[in-house]
Amino acid sequence: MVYIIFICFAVPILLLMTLLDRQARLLLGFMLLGILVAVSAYEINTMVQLILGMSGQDISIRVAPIVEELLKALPVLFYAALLCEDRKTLMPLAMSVGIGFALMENAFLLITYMDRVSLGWAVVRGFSTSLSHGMCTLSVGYGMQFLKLQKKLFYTGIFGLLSLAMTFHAVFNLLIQSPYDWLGMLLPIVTYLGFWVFHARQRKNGACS
Amino acid sequence: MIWLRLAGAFAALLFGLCTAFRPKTPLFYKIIFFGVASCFLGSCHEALASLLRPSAVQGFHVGWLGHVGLFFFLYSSYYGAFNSLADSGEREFRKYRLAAAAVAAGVLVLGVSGALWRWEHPVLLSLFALPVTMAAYFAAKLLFMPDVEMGIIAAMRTFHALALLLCVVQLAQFCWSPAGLTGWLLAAADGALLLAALPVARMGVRKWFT
Repeated sequence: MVYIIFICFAVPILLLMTLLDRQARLLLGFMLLGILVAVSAYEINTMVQLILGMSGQDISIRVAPIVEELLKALPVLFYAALLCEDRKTLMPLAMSVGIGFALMENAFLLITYMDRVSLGWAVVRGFSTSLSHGMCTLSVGYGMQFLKLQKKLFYTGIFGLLSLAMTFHAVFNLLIQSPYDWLGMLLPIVTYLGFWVFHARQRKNGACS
Repeated sequence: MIWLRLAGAFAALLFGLCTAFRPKTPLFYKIIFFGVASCFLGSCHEALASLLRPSAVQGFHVGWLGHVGLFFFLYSSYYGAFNSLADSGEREFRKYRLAAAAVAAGVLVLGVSGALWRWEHPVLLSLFALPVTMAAYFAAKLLFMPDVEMGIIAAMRTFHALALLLCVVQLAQFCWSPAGLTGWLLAAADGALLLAALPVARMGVRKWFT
């Protein structure tokens, strides 16, 4: 099933990419990579679940945050190390990987639990899960900016950022599956709003100076 | 016990959110803030999981990665942002490096022996000791080293002492997992050290830049 959804997403995106300019093509390309990463994460999580005999909920709290954050960081890492010339493009690209990942995950869950989903479910997942995946990858993308600029800082800091993203993801997964799911939903939204305000203030300060 | 650490980390997070994103804040301070945020998330995960799903916090769990993150950030702030200002590899500083290496080795032994003695699967816990040891090395080195031009080391010495203590306390807490009074004392010390980390770092950074 997961491969059928992947093809349904990938083909139209690839067709669209041929018509776009470089920046838009990059953003869509990284979103597509995020979708591909979600497929890989699904396979790895399923394999670990079978090997360790864990329940689906246990996997999502104990294993998935580690596997998914590592996989989502890879496209950004390769791009930052081999191709990137303008480090300012890295953060939007990192966010694209996260959003692509969330798209695939949402579509898969929608089809798997078709009889249980509702409009509320769609709104909650649309905002919270997309932002959660997006923010986690964004934080790692922030660290990737230092890859060529300050190598010492990058080599050590990237592990810290990965740990931060994994822990954030695990807290979100834990809350969203608990009676306090509203708190889980709020967590990425509040974090995103905080980031947005900070980013807007920085741009304003940059424009003033 | 987790609540004491969580309270300390939460207070530190609030302090950091109010101070770390002001204009002209040094990168060193921002990295330490990210470390505290990571530690807060780790403690938050542990506290929530012990309430909602106790099976998820038996042995090594994802919440520990938040603490691993704290020490990676601490190590990063030292190695990437501070160390080159204080130590450019002169021979005269060799004795301080050796003394710091001895302290770091002690920290590693404390962690690995606790992991081997107290836990059934000690491999992941032993790995946890590695970033702590690296952070402890730099904290100890900068604590022992004489001051250089502009008083950078002297301004931050209290923070280095606090960082070294944090390494020892958290490693003892996680790898030895003590119960009873020792456990409570370590948890209280952990909370207090986390609470003090950012204000002390800020005071040092202010002296450093004035």
